[in-house]
Amino acid sequence: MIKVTKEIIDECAKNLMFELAPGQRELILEDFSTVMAQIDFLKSIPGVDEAEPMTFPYREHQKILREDKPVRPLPSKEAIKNSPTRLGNQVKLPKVVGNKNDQVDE
Amino acid sequence: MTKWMNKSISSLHDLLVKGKVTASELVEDCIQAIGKDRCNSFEATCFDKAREEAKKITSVKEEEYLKGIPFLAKDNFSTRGVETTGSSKILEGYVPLYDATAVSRLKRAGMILVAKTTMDELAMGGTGTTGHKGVTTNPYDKTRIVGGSSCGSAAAVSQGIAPLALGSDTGDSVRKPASYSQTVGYKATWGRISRFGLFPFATSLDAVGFFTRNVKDAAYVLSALAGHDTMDMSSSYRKKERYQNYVLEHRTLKRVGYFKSVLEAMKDETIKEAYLDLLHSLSEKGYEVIQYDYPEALLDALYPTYMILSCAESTSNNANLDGIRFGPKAKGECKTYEEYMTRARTDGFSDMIKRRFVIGGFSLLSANQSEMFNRAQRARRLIVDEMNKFFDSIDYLVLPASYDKPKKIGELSTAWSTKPDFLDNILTIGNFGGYPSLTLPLGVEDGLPFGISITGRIFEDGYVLSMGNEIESIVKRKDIIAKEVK
Repeated sequence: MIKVTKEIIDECAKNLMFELAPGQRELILEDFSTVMAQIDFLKSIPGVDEAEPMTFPYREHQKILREDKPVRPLPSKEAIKNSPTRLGNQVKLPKVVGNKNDQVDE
Repeated sequence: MTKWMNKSISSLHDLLVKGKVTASELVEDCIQAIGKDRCNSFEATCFDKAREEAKKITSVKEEEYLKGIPFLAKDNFSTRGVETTGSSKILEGYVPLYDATAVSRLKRAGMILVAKTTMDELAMGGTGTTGHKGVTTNPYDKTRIVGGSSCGSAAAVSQGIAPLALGSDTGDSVRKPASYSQTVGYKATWGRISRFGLFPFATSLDAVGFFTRNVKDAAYVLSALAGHDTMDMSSSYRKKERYQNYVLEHRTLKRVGYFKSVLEAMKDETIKEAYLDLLHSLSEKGYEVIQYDYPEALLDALYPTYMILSCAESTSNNANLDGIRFGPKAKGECKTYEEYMTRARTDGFSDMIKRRFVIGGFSLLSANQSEMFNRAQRARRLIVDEMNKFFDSIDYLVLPASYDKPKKIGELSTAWSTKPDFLDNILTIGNFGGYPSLTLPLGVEDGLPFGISITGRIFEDGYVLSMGNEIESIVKRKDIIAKEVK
């Protein structure tokens, strides 16, 4: 398992696409010291590592297939109604390629 | 406080059928009551639309049990045309284009949505203090929490603002606030009520729930909400039932269980005495009351298992909150879309949410997954296997829903609990196994309420509600409106 460091915390935050406020790294490090102790506790429970991981509360096999009916999708104007950065009937973002100086407009 | 909204659904239904009140009068009464809310229970209102809908209702038939009655919804239920934020800055201004299935089914039954209620940010929290609009307080004591995350729904129903409010329950987010507010809080079997349109927090644990002021009302509401939904692949195809019939016909099962270690760990003498009195009364009524020795190690595993699974699932469930498709525009100049998303998410999420996401993200790193996330999933299996063993010979688990008074707002900590008390986390069993689970009022200590919880086998929702009705008749605490004691 990866050792918890300030750098790893920064990397996790970067992967999750946000920045941490000053002092938060330290608080998360404190949280982790408890988390790791509790992970050790889970490890100590007899039979835990032999148990099958549980992803949902119960198993229920269903053999019903949904009707293959065409549905009318949302019109693009509706679909982008909540976007804060739209232009016409499209969402506008900084260019992925090309001029990096382009900005996001309303 | 109000003329009509302090009454139960069944009372209002009788009045509507007899023509003694109109849906419009009920909506006006609810709007007035919202104006007098003393707990900071509301996120958004839809008064005009509610008035418009009420005008369309000119009569109510006996079999139209919910028609014409106002209701509220927690702010993580999508509501067409009504701002829905999950009490988070990152979704401010978001107006859904459709109703969540739970909302549309209540509307189909003739109920009228009047307002959206506050919650802990994105449903991650159990205090009702972390939403972007501030703290939601306990109707009995404004210096204390009402619990969360469905804080506004609990506080509103408790104050007599509406007879029904939708909530969601991932750990105990309906049932714990119900305990602190002297309301009935119900979490249905996982998969029994569609989650389409409910903002996901931890998909393997999330369930739709709701608050009423008596158990019979809850049974009628479940009948309206239950059933398969093609829009939610996790909703069950099992036939829905008329849950009110279980209550009306007093159809209960006979074996009631409790955990030995819980009884031994309880410190609050008032709650303990009320609990033991209840078990004694059930025994006198002919129920077989059985002590069960649930392993304490598995009870201690509840908190870390819940925290790891819920943090991990929430990081992926909230990855769509990018400031591009919805939410406020990122501030300042951004040269790349990655920078844009990072800025939107940095400004949009609170520090508490980011801390949970980092822990969740760390537990999902490929090098950590088997030690953290998968181990928590394995611990969940042991917890549920043991609980299913319990249900092999016992029909109900009856436990207190809270074990002390609601905490003072100034005494809360946001840190990861170093010495978690399993009593505080025991209701998560209901989510781990997907069991139907109900909280109803049990007693009051120094003016502050505490509740009792009943949990049953999956899809035995009717039997759980009927046992709730039985306990309600023993305890004689129903249809209660909060009066502030401090």
